[in-house]
Amino acid sequence: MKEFLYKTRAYFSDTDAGGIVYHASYIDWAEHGRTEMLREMVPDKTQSELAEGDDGILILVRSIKIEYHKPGYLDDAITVHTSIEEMRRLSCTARQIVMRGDDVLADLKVGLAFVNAKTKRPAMIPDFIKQAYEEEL
Amino acid sequence: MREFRLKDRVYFSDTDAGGIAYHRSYFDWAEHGRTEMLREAVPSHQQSALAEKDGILTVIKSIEIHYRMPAFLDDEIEIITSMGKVQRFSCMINQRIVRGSEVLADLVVKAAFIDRETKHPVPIPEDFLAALSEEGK
Repeated sequence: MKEFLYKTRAYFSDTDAGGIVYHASYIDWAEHGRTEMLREMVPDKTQSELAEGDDGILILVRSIKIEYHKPGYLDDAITVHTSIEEMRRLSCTARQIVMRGDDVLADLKVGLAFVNAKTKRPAMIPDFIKQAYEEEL
Repeated sequence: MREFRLKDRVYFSDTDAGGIAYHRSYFDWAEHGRTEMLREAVPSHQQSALAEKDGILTVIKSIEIHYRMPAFLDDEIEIITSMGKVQRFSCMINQRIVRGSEVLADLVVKAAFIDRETKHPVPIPEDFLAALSEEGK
């Protein structure tokens, strides 16, 4: 599948007293990467619009497996590579790689579940998202 | 195995527009649980003292988290931390976030020690090793 790229930078707010990027900042960058992927796949709907109405959906994080390979530092130019590894009826898995140039800083697998925004019950992944995914394959 | 329990609460800063605790907050809570466990296990070694005296930083090598139930604003939560396998260069830490008798999330965290300057791995300091191995029993 096509990779979606999200570029950011390691700001002071991402760093800790150890002089490196704090480990939870990668979780934020990954979320931004997934959001921008969704916006690119479904350009006519924002996340708030996706949640509207009786069929509105929310996307929940069910699990994360993250491996840290190298530390990130203040000022680093960061690129988050995001792709969908597996698409199922009610859930999908995203693979995300956080890079600084050619260096892999962290590697994530993120399990995502779709729920009805009102009832919070599991919901089928909407067809327009599946179609957008299939077009990217 | 000894469990270290830390009480906390879900504040506005932990929540998102979905009306639940944001998934990154669990990483922060878990870090607080690990820090307080360490402070109790090795009272002579605050993290800042470790960095200054021995030039050693603790870093996270990997985290696997499974989210079981959402947490909500005002929830009283507890972070339960226990040591897993302790090796020469790294150790495993098991953590569970609960609200009363409900499990909200389970984490397995791999932590390691690195030289502050070179960022290369260093063996776990002797007194840490002794205290952590004792915790793991």
